[in-house]
Amino acid sequence: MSIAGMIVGICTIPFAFSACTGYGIWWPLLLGIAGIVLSAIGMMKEPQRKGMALAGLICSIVGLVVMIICFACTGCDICRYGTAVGLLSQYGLN
Amino acid sequence: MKPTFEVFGYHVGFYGILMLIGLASAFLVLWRLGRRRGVRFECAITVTACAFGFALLGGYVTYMLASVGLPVIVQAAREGKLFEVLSKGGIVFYGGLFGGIFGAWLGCRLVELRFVAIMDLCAPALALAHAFGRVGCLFAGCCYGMPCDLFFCFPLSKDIAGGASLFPVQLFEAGCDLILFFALVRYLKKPRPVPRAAGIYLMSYSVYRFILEFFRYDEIRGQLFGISTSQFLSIPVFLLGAVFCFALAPRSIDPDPFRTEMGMIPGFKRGTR
Repeated sequence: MSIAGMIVGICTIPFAFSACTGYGIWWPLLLGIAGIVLSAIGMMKEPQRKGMALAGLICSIVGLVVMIICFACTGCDICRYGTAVGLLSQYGLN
Repeated sequence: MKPTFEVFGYHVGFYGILMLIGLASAFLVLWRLGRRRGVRFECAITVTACAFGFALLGGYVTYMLASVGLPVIVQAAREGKLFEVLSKGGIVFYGGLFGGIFGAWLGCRLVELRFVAIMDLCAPALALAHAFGRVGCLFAGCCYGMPCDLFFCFPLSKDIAGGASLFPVQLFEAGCDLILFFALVRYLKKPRPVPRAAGIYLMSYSVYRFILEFFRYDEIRGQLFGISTSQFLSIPVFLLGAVFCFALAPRSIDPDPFRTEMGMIPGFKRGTR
């Protein structure tokens, strides 16, 4: 459980950037949640591998944070529109 | 309003940051309330992660069905434009609520906790996270209110409703959420019948959401039987809350959150708080 959690957690971070496309949010979300669940269960069931589980937990959380920031900046329609309007105003085009 | 701020030349969305703060605060509330009842940190994070994931999924699916519609999605899939349609998504709170409830149930199953007891602890956490989410809506310029000239109304942007002063319905909802959060935390300080706190949350939220919907002015919202989709969904949510409060809570359901000892803090004695 702990090893699987760590592997999935590490995979979450590169996949997190796919959230920039909007619909690509589901891969890092799935991996991040799987990483958190596996690591958390690993921490409870395998105390001797707590370090690996903790690493998996931290990587999964970092991946989810990056995913949310990427999605909110460019993936979500409302924020994408807001950014475009902001940029246009900044260059006096609005 | 101000949907983004700049960090090292990159535009970062306020909505995402506030969503993150909401998620983190929900986890902290659940962890703190759970710790008093002997629930381990790992269980709190599992339940929060599952609830968040399924809340996003539920909110997104409901938005796509209510705003885009199944026939349009099927047509887009036939024309090979499915990803183009799916990328134009949003989130509906009630879809998120049902998805989140399912996610929390799944999380509880995974860490061997009893869902009915944990649901009560999730209610204040959800209210606080939602308050942050609504402030995020204000910054993003979505879910806005009707044009209004009262002293507390202000324009969000010159591109929204022609730059008119708008009723800050997002702030009102965030305020109601905060009041509900503090009330539920205070309520849960003493042992209470489960799932009364969850019932209070569902009933209170559905009532003020139903009322605040009359002040909404944003275009992206479905209609069912002459009322908005959210108002329509408020009715079964209120009834569900009433069932929790007045039918399930008086049945003296065991408030112990543990199915096995896996999720219990080592050395914690059952029945103590």
